[in-house]
Parts: sequence; C-alpha cells; structure tokens
Amino acid sequence: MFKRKNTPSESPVEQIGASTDHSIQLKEVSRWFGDIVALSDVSFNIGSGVTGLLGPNGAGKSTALKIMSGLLPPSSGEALIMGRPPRSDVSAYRELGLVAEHEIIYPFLSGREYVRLNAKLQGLKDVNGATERAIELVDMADAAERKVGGYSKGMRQRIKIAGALVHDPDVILMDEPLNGTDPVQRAEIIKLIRQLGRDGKTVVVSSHVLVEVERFAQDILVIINGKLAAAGDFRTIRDHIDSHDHEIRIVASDARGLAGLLFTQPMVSGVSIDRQGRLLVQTTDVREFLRMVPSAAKHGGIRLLEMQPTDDSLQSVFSYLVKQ
Amino acid sequence: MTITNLTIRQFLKSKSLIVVAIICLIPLLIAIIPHFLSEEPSIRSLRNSMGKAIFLNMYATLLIPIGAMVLSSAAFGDEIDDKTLYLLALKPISRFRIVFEKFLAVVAVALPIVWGAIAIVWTVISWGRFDNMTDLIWPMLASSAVGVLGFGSVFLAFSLFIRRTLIFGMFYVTIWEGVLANYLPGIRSFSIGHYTRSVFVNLVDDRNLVIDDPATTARVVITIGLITLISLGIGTWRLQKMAIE
Repeated sequence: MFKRKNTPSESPVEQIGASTDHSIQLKEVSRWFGDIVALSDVSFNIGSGVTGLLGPNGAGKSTALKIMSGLLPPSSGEALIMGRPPRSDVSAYRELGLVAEHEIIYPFLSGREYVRLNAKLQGLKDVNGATERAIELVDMADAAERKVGGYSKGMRQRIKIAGALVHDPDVILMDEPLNGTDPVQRAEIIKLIRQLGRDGKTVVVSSHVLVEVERFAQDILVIINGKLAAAGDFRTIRDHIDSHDHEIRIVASDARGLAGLLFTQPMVSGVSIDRQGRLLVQTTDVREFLRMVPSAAKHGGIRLLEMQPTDDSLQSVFSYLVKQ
Repeated sequence: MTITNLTIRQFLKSKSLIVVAIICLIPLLIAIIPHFLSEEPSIRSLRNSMGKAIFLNMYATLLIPIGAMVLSSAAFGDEIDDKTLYLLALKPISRFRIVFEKFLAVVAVALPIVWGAIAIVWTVISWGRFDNMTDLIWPMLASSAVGVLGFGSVFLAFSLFIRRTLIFGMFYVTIWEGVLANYLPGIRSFSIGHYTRSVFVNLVDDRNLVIDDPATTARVVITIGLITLISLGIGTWRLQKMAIE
C-alpha cells in the first residue's frame, strides 16, 4: 500500500507495520524552531517490524525521532511510546532504546563499562548477564575492555547499539546507524536490524540512503520538508522511485577509465567528472546499475573506493515521489 | 549512585578539577607573607587576623562560589556540550534523581578540594604557631561546607538554563555576592556568601570578629537547606521541560 499525504486537511493517520499494535504513535505533531518549521502536522502509528524513516538531510527525520523518544517536546500534538508519553512518564523508557546519531559517548569508559552503565540505569536485575548478551549481540566481546575513546567510528556505532539494546526494549529507534561503518560491519548491523524486526520488535531506522533502507525495511515513512510525504510498503514506493533518474557519485582509482566503461551501459543516461575527480553518473535503473558497476570495474582493473547516491539526486527523487 | 559515580569520573578526566584546585590555593600567595617578616608579637597577631580575613574575604566571598560554579556548570554543561545528556534522560529514572545525583557529585568533588586547599593555607599561615590557630580550622571547614552546598545547588540549576554559566556566574559572584550583599542590608538575606561568613563568625570565639547582621546558625541551616531544595526542584523542572540534543 502506497499512500500520499499532501494536505493537512486530509490528515489520515498512517498505520505502518503490524496493524494491530501502535507501539509508536504521533498525533498531529508539529515542531518549529523560531520561524523554521521542522515538522508539520505529522500523524502516524508504527507497529512491529522494521520501518525506514527516509528523507534528505534536514528533512525532519532527526526531529521526528527526537520527538518520538521524548527528547524534544513537540510544539503541538502528542507522541506516545506503547501508549505512554515518555516526557511525562519515564517508565516508557523501559520499552525504548535509542541509537542516536551523535558519536560521542563517555570516551573514558570501556565498551563494557558503557553497556553496563546503560544496564544499571535501566534498573536491570542481572546487569552483568544483560551486558554480556548485548556486547555479544554486536560482536564486540574482543574490544569490550578498550576505552570507547579509542574506538573506530564503526565500533562506536556498535557499542551504542549494544547500550540501546541492553534492556531488550520493544521499541528501538536508530538514527543513521550505518554511518561510518565498513561493508562488513554494515552487513552485520543490517542483519541485526532484520533479526530485531523478525523478533517482533518495533524498529524505526532513519536514513537518507534509499538503497540502504531497501535491505532491511518492509515499510517506509518519507519525510520531506517536515511533512510526511509518503508512507507504506517499501516495494510499492520503490517502483515509483525506480522509474526516475538517480545520480550516483563514485570514487574510483581510475575515474576516466570507469567513465568510459559505464557510458556504454544502457541504464546510464549521463556521466561527468567533478573537480575532485569523482564520477557523477545519472542512471535510469539504480538497482541494475549498482549490480553492474562492481563487475564493470573489475573487468577494467579499476578499484572502487566509494559509491553512493548524491543528496541532490535523493532530493529530486523525493520531490518526484511527492508529485506522483 | 550510578550517575554520581559517572559524573565524578567525568570530573577526574576534565580540567575543571585542576582549575578549582588552583583557584582555591590562590590565598597561599598571601599566606606565606608573614614567614618573610620578623617574629615580633604584632606579626604573630597578624597571622591570626590574616587567617580570618583570608577566609571571610577570599574563600567565603569569591573562591568557594567560583569553585562551586566551575564544577556545577560542568556537571550538566559537559553533558550538554558533548551531547551525552540523552543517555541519562532516556532512562526510566526520575529527573529529580538525575539532578540530585549530579549535585552529590559536585559536593563530593568540591568539598575535598576546598577543604584540602583551606587546610594547606591554614597550615602555611600557622606554621610554627599552630597553638594560636587551631580554633580557626573547624569553623573554616564547617562554613565552607555551607558555601559549597548553597552555591553548588544554585549554579547546578543555573547551568540547565544558561549555556554560558561561567560568565553569568562571575557577574553574580562579583556584583551580587561581592558588592551588593556587603553594602545593601536587604540583599544579605539572599546572599549565600553572607550565610557562609555568618557560620564562620558564629563558630569562631572572637569578639573582635564581626560582620554586619550575622545570621544565627539555625537560620543558616534552614535557609541553605531551603535554597538547596528549591534549586534542585527548579533543576528538575527544567530537565523535564528542556529539549535534549
């Protein structure tokens, strides 16, 4: 099911995930900072399963997550976790785990101390058992005694996830959890997110990378300019997105050589090289393109260093989506 | 006491601790002066009056409030600056407990530093004449505890409202506590420094040591207790209402 939400007067409440439960509810939530409207009259219910919260940078995703978690009060409307408003009823935090985007987490603590701190503050009876289970879950046992300040970006993400999951919450919010992770760590985190969804947890994962969300989310919410632009089944929305041009930015060991190889491909509609020597490729079929590029590069003896959709492209795709 | 322990570890890793220790040891520069003078009787009495003056005019009026301010503003301020406050806020614990445990950490760190610095300064002033000065040390320690509790709680609450607590705090300490409370009788009732000085004067058995309108020790205990409770209450309310990054 793919739904648009264009005007406040329509304002139906979108039901995402299992239709029988309302783990997360946002009721006509708006939030503004001075003259800037960060979120405008957003309503939805999210049930169990993995939901992707999509939108370009600055669209209002983080604001929505902060309001859901109770860190930020809405200017109007109401946010509920398992039927309780977390800002006034802190017992709701027994059911909630948040993996925030910020990287800094008490650098003087070891990874194990950080997870144990979360377990203690949750008031768990078996603090040590819960700590070890959470560390094992993110595969950080070998590095658990090291100080968090010495962790790589990916390791910090994983230990943050362990801290957020130590009390086995039913509702998990993750703000760009794949940022800074290498491909192996990324695959592990995606596997974990899927598993949480299969276990009946309500998981909301924000991202500005469409192809990334495709790997773990059954449903998505699309926020653009503070408004809920689309909500529903990912595949239906993706089909609409796929029919629109995407721009992919590629960093490779030989940009010109790769440009020559890609230009001959039928799904490539344009290729250019920017001042930093990065390849900007317009494609009409992003998924086929992403499958093709590694083999083309390998064939040409070219090493791929980075490949991701540009924000401009994402913005245009979302804009297109709203118009459909 | 998980948050208290965490905050103490934060202090131990920060520069705030060294800053407070240095501030509290500034009177050492004055305390060593009598040792360069001759041992005439007038110099001996100078030592005694210098000990009292250092406490009343330096510790109670400036150094204890500044020391408490540095630690109190760091207790929440560092969490806000580092964007780690959400880690405490997203837990099923009351906001009062968060504020109270932060306050305990401030007191647990500030008190030993202030007491240690006072003991060092007292030792330097009294060196060779300890018998004449023993009656000063306990009043100094007791009244400095009053200052740490009062200033610590007030600045902790301030730090949840104002990002630049140190600038505001310096203005408060110098203008309100340093100038207005000394010259305007009505303001003394709202001066934590005045209560700190009052406890010292009440406990030191010296008729020559007087301050304007000293508060009784019972009044000091009740007032500082109220100030602490009200400050923690305001801090709790603020933590409930504020947006957390």
